[in-house]
Amino acid sequence: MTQAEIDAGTAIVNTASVTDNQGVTGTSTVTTLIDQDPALTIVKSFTTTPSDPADTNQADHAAR
Amino acid sequence: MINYTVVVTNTGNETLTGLVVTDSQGNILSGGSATLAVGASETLTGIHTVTQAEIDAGTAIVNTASVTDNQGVTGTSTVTTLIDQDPALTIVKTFTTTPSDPADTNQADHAGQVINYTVVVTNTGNETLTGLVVTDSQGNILSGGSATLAVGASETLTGIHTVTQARSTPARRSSTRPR
Repeated sequence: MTQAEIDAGTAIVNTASVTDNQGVTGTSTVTTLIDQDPALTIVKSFTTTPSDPADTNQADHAAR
Repeated sequence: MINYTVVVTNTGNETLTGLVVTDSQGNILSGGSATLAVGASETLTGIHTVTQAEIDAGTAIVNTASVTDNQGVTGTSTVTTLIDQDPALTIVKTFTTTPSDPADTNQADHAGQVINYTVVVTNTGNETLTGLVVTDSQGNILSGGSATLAVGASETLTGIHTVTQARSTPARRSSTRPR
Protein backbone atom coordinates (compact mmCIF):
# COMPACT_ATOMS: atom_id res chain seq x y z
CA MET A 1 0.00 0.00 0.00
CA THR A 2 1.30 3.39 -0.89
CA GLN A 3 1.06 6.67 0.94
CA ALA A 4 -0.76 7.97 -2.09
CA GLU A 5 -3.47 5.36 -1.57
CA ILE A 6 -3.80 6.33 2.06
CA ASP A 7 -3.93 9.99 1.12
CA ALA A 8 -6.54 9.32 -1.57
CA GLY A 9 -8.69 7.54 0.94
CA THR A 10 -10.36 5.57 -1.82
CA ALA A 11 -11.08 1.96 -1.07
CA ILE A 12 -8.68 -0.43 -2.75
CA VAL A 13 -10.71 -2.63 -4.97
CA ASN A 14 -8.97 -5.79 -6.06
CA THR A 15 -10.31 -8.41 -8.39
CA ALA A 16 -8.96 -11.85 -9.12
CA SER A 17 -9.90 -13.27 -12.47
CA VAL A 18 -9.53 -16.71 -13.81
CA THR A 19 -9.64 -18.09 -17.32
CA ASP A 20 -8.87 -21.46 -18.72
CA ASN A 21 -8.79 -23.37 -21.93
CA GLN A 22 -12.28 -24.53 -21.31
CA GLY A 23 -13.67 -21.05 -21.51
CA VAL A 24 -14.65 -20.91 -17.96
CA THR A 25 -13.94 -17.67 -16.27
CA GLY A 26 -14.51 -16.28 -12.93
CA THR A 27 -13.79 -13.21 -10.87
CA SER A 28 -13.68 -12.40 -7.25
CA THR A 29 -13.37 -8.94 -5.91
CA VAL A 30 -12.36 -7.73 -2.53
CA THR A 31 -12.52 -4.22 -1.27
CA THR A 32 -10.21 -2.85 1.34
CA LEU A 33 -11.35 0.32 2.93
CA ILE A 34 -8.84 3.02 3.76
CA ASP A 35 -8.79 4.30 7.28
CA GLN A 36 -7.51 7.83 7.25
CA ASP A 37 -6.38 9.10 10.61
CA PRO A 38 -4.98 12.56 10.06
CA ALA A 39 -3.43 14.02 13.18
CA LEU A 40 -0.88 16.58 14.11
CA THR A 41 0.74 18.24 17.03
CA ILE A 42 1.70 21.87 17.28
CA VAL A 43 4.09 23.15 19.91
CA LYS A 44 4.93 26.80 20.33
CA SER A 45 7.84 27.98 22.39
CA PHE A 46 9.64 31.27 22.84
CA THR A 47 12.88 32.85 23.87
CA THR A 48 13.54 36.41 24.85
CA THR A 49 16.54 38.43 25.89
CA PRO A 50 15.68 40.69 28.81
CA SER A 51 17.89 43.60 29.82
CA ASP A 52 18.09 42.24 33.34
CA PRO A 53 19.44 38.67 33.43
CA ALA A 54 17.21 38.08 36.44
CA ASP A 55 14.13 38.50 34.23
CA THR A 56 14.56 35.20 32.43
CA ASN A 57 11.72 34.44 30.01
CA GLN A 58 10.14 37.82 30.69
CA ALA A 59 9.85 41.01 28.72
CA ASP A 60 11.37 43.97 30.50
CA HIS A 61 11.89 46.58 27.83
CA ALA A 62 10.23 47.96 24.76
CA ALA A 63 11.83 48.19 21.36
CA ARG A 64 14.74 50.59 21.26
CA MET B 1 11.86 41.11 21.41
CA ILE B 2 10.25 37.71 21.73
CA ASN B 3 11.38 34.96 19.39
CA TYR B 4 8.68 32.40 18.72
CA THR B 5 9.21 28.90 17.43
CA VAL B 6 6.37 26.69 16.24
CA VAL B 7 6.85 23.01 15.49
CA VAL B 8 4.09 21.18 13.62
CA THR B 9 4.32 17.40 13.37
CA ASN B 10 2.20 15.07 11.29
CA THR B 11 1.37 12.30 13.74
CA GLY B 12 -1.30 10.71 11.58
CA ASN B 13 -1.14 8.25 8.71
CA GLU B 14 -2.07 10.70 5.99
CA THR B 15 -0.18 13.42 4.22
CA LEU B 16 -1.41 16.78 5.44
CA THR B 17 -2.08 19.40 2.78
CA GLY B 18 -3.21 22.99 2.77
CA LEU B 19 -1.42 23.52 6.05
CA VAL B 20 -1.79 27.05 7.40
CA VAL B 21 -0.19 28.17 10.65
CA THR B 22 -1.26 31.53 12.07
CA ASP B 23 -0.23 33.69 15.00
CA SER B 24 -2.85 35.26 17.27
CA GLN B 25 -1.00 38.58 17.37
CA GLY B 26 -0.48 38.74 13.64
CA ASN B 27 3.24 38.09 13.89
CA ILE B 28 4.61 36.69 10.65
CA LEU B 29 5.57 33.03 10.92
CA SER B 30 8.02 31.93 8.28
CA GLY B 31 9.53 28.60 7.33
CA GLY B 32 6.36 26.59 6.97
CA SER B 33 5.15 24.44 4.10
CA ALA B 34 1.64 23.69 2.88
CA THR B 35 2.29 19.95 2.83
CA LEU B 36 3.55 17.73 5.59
CA ALA B 37 4.40 14.08 5.09
CA VAL B 38 3.52 11.43 7.62
CA GLY B 39 5.95 11.56 10.50
CA ALA B 40 7.53 14.79 9.33
CA SER B 41 7.82 18.05 11.20
CA GLU B 42 8.16 21.63 10.13
CA THR B 43 9.46 24.52 12.15
CA LEU B 44 8.22 28.06 11.80
CA THR B 45 9.69 31.10 13.47
CA GLY B 46 8.37 34.56 14.21
CA ILE B 47 9.25 37.65 16.15
CA HIS B 48 7.19 39.89 18.34
CA THR B 49 8.65 43.26 19.22
CA VAL B 50 7.50 44.30 22.66
CA THR B 51 5.94 47.75 22.72
CA GLN B 52 6.13 50.32 25.47
CA ALA B 53 2.36 50.06 25.76
CA GLU B 54 2.73 46.37 26.59
CA ILE B 55 5.36 47.11 29.22
CA ASP B 56 3.17 49.87 30.66
CA ALA B 57 0.11 47.63 30.74
CA GLY B 58 2.04 44.96 32.58
CA THR B 59 -0.25 42.29 31.22
CA ALA B 60 1.37 39.04 30.22
CA ILE B 61 1.72 38.62 26.48
CA VAL B 62 -0.35 35.59 25.53
CA ASN B 63 0.37 34.26 22.08
CA THR B 64 -1.29 31.36 20.33
CA ALA B 65 -0.27 29.52 17.19
CA SER B 66 -3.06 27.78 15.29
CA VAL B 67 -2.86 25.28 12.49
CA THR B 68 -5.47 24.17 9.99
CA ASP B 69 -5.32 21.90 6.97
CA ASN B 70 -7.39 20.37 4.22
CA GLN B 71 -7.84 17.20 6.25
CA GLY B 72 -9.81 19.03 8.90
CA VAL B 73 -7.27 18.54 11.64
CA THR B 74 -6.57 21.59 13.73
CA GLY B 75 -4.38 22.42 16.67
CA THR B 76 -3.32 25.28 18.86
CA SER B 77 -0.42 25.99 21.16
CA THR B 78 -0.15 28.95 23.50
CA VAL B 79 2.80 30.52 25.26
CA THR B 80 2.76 33.29 27.84
CA THR B 81 5.51 35.83 28.38
CA LEU B 82 5.37 37.73 31.64
CA ILE B 83 6.09 41.44 31.80
CA ASP B 84 8.60 42.70 34.33
CA GLN B 85 7.80 46.27 35.30
CA ASP B 86 10.61 48.17 36.96
CA PRO B 87 9.47 51.76 37.49
CA ALA B 88 12.25 54.03 38.70
CA LEU B 89 13.20 57.70 38.66
CA THR B 90 15.79 60.14 39.83
CA ILE B 91 15.19 63.68 40.99
CA VAL B 92 17.97 66.24 41.26
CA LYS B 93 17.45 69.74 42.59
CA THR B 94 19.96 72.50 42.12
CA PHE B 95 19.93 76.22 42.68
CA THR B 96 21.64 79.41 41.72
CA THR B 97 21.55 82.73 43.50
CA THR B 98 23.28 86.07 43.32
CA PRO B 99 24.45 87.31 46.70
CA SER B 100 25.43 90.91 47.26
CA ASP B 101 28.85 89.91 48.44
CA PRO B 102 30.72 87.86 45.85
CA ALA B 103 32.37 86.04 48.69
CA ASP B 104 29.00 84.60 49.64
CA THR B 105 28.84 82.28 46.69
CA ASN B 106 25.81 79.99 46.84
CA GLN B 107 24.57 81.75 49.93
CA ALA B 108 21.76 84.16 50.64
CA ASP B 109 23.02 87.41 52.10
CA HIS B 110 20.22 89.88 51.63
CA ALA B 111 16.48 90.08 51.77
CA GLY B 112 14.85 90.15 48.39
CA GLN B 113 17.54 87.91 47.00
CA VAL B 114 16.15 85.41 44.55
CA ILE B 115 17.07 81.76 44.68
CA ASN B 116 16.46 80.02 41.38
CA TYR B 117 15.64 76.38 41.77
CA THR B 118 15.92 73.79 39.02
CA VAL B 119 14.53 70.30 39.40
CA VAL B 120 15.32 67.56 36.91
CA VAL B 121 13.25 64.41 37.07
CA THR B 122 14.39 61.46 34.94
CA ASN B 123 12.55 58.25 34.25
CA THR B 124 15.24 55.61 34.76
CA GLY B 125 12.88 52.64 34.79
CA ASN B 126 11.29 50.62 32.00
CA GLU B 127 7.76 51.90 32.43
CA THR B 128 6.11 55.18 31.48
CA LEU B 129 5.55 57.24 34.61
CA THR B 130 2.15 58.86 34.96
CA GLY B 131 0.51 61.10 37.54
CA LEU B 132 3.84 62.74 38.19
CA VAL B 133 3.68 65.45 40.83
CA VAL B 134 6.73 67.45 41.89
CA THR B 135 6.37 69.60 44.97
CA ASP B 136 8.51 72.10 46.79
CA SER B 137 8.87 71.91 50.55
CA GLN B 138 8.50 75.69 50.87
CA GLY B 139 5.47 75.91 48.65
CA ASN B 140 7.40 77.60 45.85
CA ILE B 141 5.70 77.09 42.54
CA LEU B 142 7.58 74.72 40.27
CA SER B 143 6.66 75.14 36.64
CA GLY B 144 7.53 73.25 33.50
CA GLY B 145 6.63 69.77 34.60
CA SER B 146 4.40 67.21 32.99
CA ALA B 147 2.25 64.51 34.52
CA THR B 148 3.71 61.88 32.21
CA LEU B 149 7.32 60.94 31.65
CA ALA B 150 8.46 58.46 29.04
CA VAL B 151 11.13 55.89 29.68
CA GLY B 152 14.55 57.52 29.55
CA ALA B 153 13.11 61.00 29.36
CA SER B 154 13.74 63.90 31.68
CA GLU B 155 11.73 66.94 32.56
CA THR B 156 13.00 70.15 34.06
CA LEU B 157 11.00 72.29 36.44
CA THR B 158 12.00 75.67 37.72
CA GLY B 159 10.96 77.77 40.62
CA ILE B 160 12.08 80.79 42.57
CA HIS B 161 12.24 81.68 46.19
CA THR B 162 12.65 85.24 47.37
CA VAL B 163 14.60 85.50 50.56
CA THR B 164 12.81 87.36 53.32
CA GLN B 165 14.44 89.49 55.96
CA ALA B 166 13.51 86.97 58.62
CA ARG B 167 15.34 84.28 56.73
CA SER B 168 18.38 86.32 55.71
CA THR B 169 19.20 87.69 59.13
CA PRO B 170 21.79 85.45 60.68
CA ALA B 171 21.11 84.23 64.18
CA ARG B 172 22.95 86.35 66.74
CA ARG B 173 23.79 85.49 70.25
CA SER B 174 22.39 87.84 72.76
CA SER B 175 23.72 88.56 76.19
CA THR B 176 20.28 89.48 77.37
CA ARG B 177 17.84 86.92 78.51
CA PRO B 178 14.73 86.56 76.49
CA ARG B 179 11.76 88.35 77.99
